[in-house]
Amino acid sequence: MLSFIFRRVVQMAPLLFLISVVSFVLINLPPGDYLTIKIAELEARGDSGAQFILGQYRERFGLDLPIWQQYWIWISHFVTGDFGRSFEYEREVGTLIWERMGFSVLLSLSTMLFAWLVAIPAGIFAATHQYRLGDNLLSFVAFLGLALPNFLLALLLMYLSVVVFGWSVGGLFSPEYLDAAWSPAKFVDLLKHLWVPVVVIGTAGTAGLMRLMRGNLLDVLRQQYVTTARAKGLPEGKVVYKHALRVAINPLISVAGTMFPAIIAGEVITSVVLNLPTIGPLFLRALQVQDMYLAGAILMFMSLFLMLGNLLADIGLALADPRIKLS
Amino acid sequence: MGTMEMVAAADGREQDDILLHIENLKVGFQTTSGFVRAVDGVDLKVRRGRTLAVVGESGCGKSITARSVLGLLPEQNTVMSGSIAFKSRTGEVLDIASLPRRGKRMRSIRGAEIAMIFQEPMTSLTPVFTVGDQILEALRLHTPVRGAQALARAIELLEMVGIPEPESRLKAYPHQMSGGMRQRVMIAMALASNPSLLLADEPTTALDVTVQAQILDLMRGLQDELGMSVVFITHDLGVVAEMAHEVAVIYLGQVVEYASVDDLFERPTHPYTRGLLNSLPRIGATERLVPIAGSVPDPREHRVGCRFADRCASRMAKCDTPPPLIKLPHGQDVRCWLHENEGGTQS
Repeated sequence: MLSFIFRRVVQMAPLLFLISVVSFVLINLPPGDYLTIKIAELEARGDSGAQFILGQYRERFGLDLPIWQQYWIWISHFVTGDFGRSFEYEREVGTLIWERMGFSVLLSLSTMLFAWLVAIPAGIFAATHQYRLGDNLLSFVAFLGLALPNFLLALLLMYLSVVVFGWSVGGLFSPEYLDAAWSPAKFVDLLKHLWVPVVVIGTAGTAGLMRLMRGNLLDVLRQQYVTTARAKGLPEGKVVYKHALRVAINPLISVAGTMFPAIIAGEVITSVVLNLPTIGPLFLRALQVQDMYLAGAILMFMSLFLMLGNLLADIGLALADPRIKLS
Repeated sequence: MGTMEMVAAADGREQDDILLHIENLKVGFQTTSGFVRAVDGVDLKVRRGRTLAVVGESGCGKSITARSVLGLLPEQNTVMSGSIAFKSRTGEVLDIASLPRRGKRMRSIRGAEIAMIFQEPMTSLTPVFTVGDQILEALRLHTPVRGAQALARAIELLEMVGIPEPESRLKAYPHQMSGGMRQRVMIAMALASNPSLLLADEPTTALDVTVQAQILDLMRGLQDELGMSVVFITHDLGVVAEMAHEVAVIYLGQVVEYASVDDLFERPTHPYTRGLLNSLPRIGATERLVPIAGSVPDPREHRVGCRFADRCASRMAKCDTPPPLIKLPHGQDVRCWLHENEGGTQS
């Protein structure tokens, strides 16, 4: 097991290298770059001090050098933890990302927790009541959840939250707590805000997971060993929860590995609509204005999360299913 | 003692002797393509300590009959009628067919008094639990043994079914064992609570011939040792000859012939049984095998008269009326008009 983990971590390096090359090339591909536009803008205003700052950038990142040299400068600094500077925000990429990463991770984990807590019991219920009213109702809601665009759901929930509960729901905090130190009251305030994006981002995933859980469980319930368990005299609950569920839930462990980075990448629209201080809107903006070092760093982090997620899922799967050997 | 009294006494003994009595069992499934009469009035008697073989082609309803005894049929779209009388350990005679399938009484019979093993040993055990876990689970369900005692009993059971190194095998997962070994584990698990009846649904069909012989030997030995009754479902007449005391031949959801194993092979009476025996290869025989003409009709068709008539060489006008099960004087039952005038009683 340990040698497997070690090998997988080592294997990540060449993959990350490839991803870094591709991301760097892609970000540089569109004609023009952020700095040229900025210079034109500043020169039009007759700002001479800006020229000095831009000159510093050119020197630091070798922006006049050929692209492969630029890449080398970027990546060799990247591995030491210097992710470059954001032109747009005129701040270091590292600090920008760390400011928001916490909320992104919090949002992702809460969303996953929500999705699993809702999807698994619902999927089990649907599978054990196949084609009956409850199953059909759940399937209907699930398809609705899959089909409803996130921004619409976000607007809907914001409206409900403000009109029915009288809570302000933009962002993750009420204005009075925004700059306050952490306190139980601030935490409660966070929870009051968090549920909206969690529900919005989680709905589609929950619906998908529920369908997956239902399908897997139905599949397993038809297996011979479930009949064996029944023929043994086990009560139906034990047949389903012990024998069938333990096997049916394994594919969901694999899904969990890809879910975490997918949520970070997928929260963009919701976070823009709800004005959340997460990575998503930052990433979108960086891509729009070709803020290349910021975009590149976020891409690299998301790739890393995806790989780590998959590794964790593989380990989890091996722990859960004795038939799977890590080698 | 007069003759009448002797007959009555013999009848009484026979009644005492019967462990399971299935009467007029009918099972149908509502499918999207119509109603399927899978079992259409099956009567079977299983006596204490004896093996009843139930023989028939795929889809004739033999497995469904066995599954209905344990209430293991799908709950939706299934229609079942008839009675399944089982003499419980407590002495009372239960009609299993009328028990709620998920109820406590049903579960106290499943695995405890009637155990079942299946055709597919490769998929019969839950893949994520060890063999030991699954045997101990059966022990916890139906016996008072716990802890070290239960462990010792599990080892004893594995020894009984001929598994080498039982202690270490308890920790093995099903996928680490061969099909034959898994079937042995299934048998060990079935025997955990000393059932009085074992339902064996083609337990050797999926196994290699040599392994098949070992499992059959094992089952025969265990039956002698434990004195349980066995219902052995198979399509293999060779297995019937080796295992059975009595044989019921099923065709399209009905018993067409019921006989002792010797009678069946010496005096096959129903045209279907004769057809089955004629289509068996024999060592040393040079004549061509004779297959039964035609093929099994669609069970969704509703048929009047004898179910086998279309494929029968001896078909006559009377076959359009359903034949009753005719009791022949030497104790064989046959569902065929050809033997109408030989028989004593009809049912």
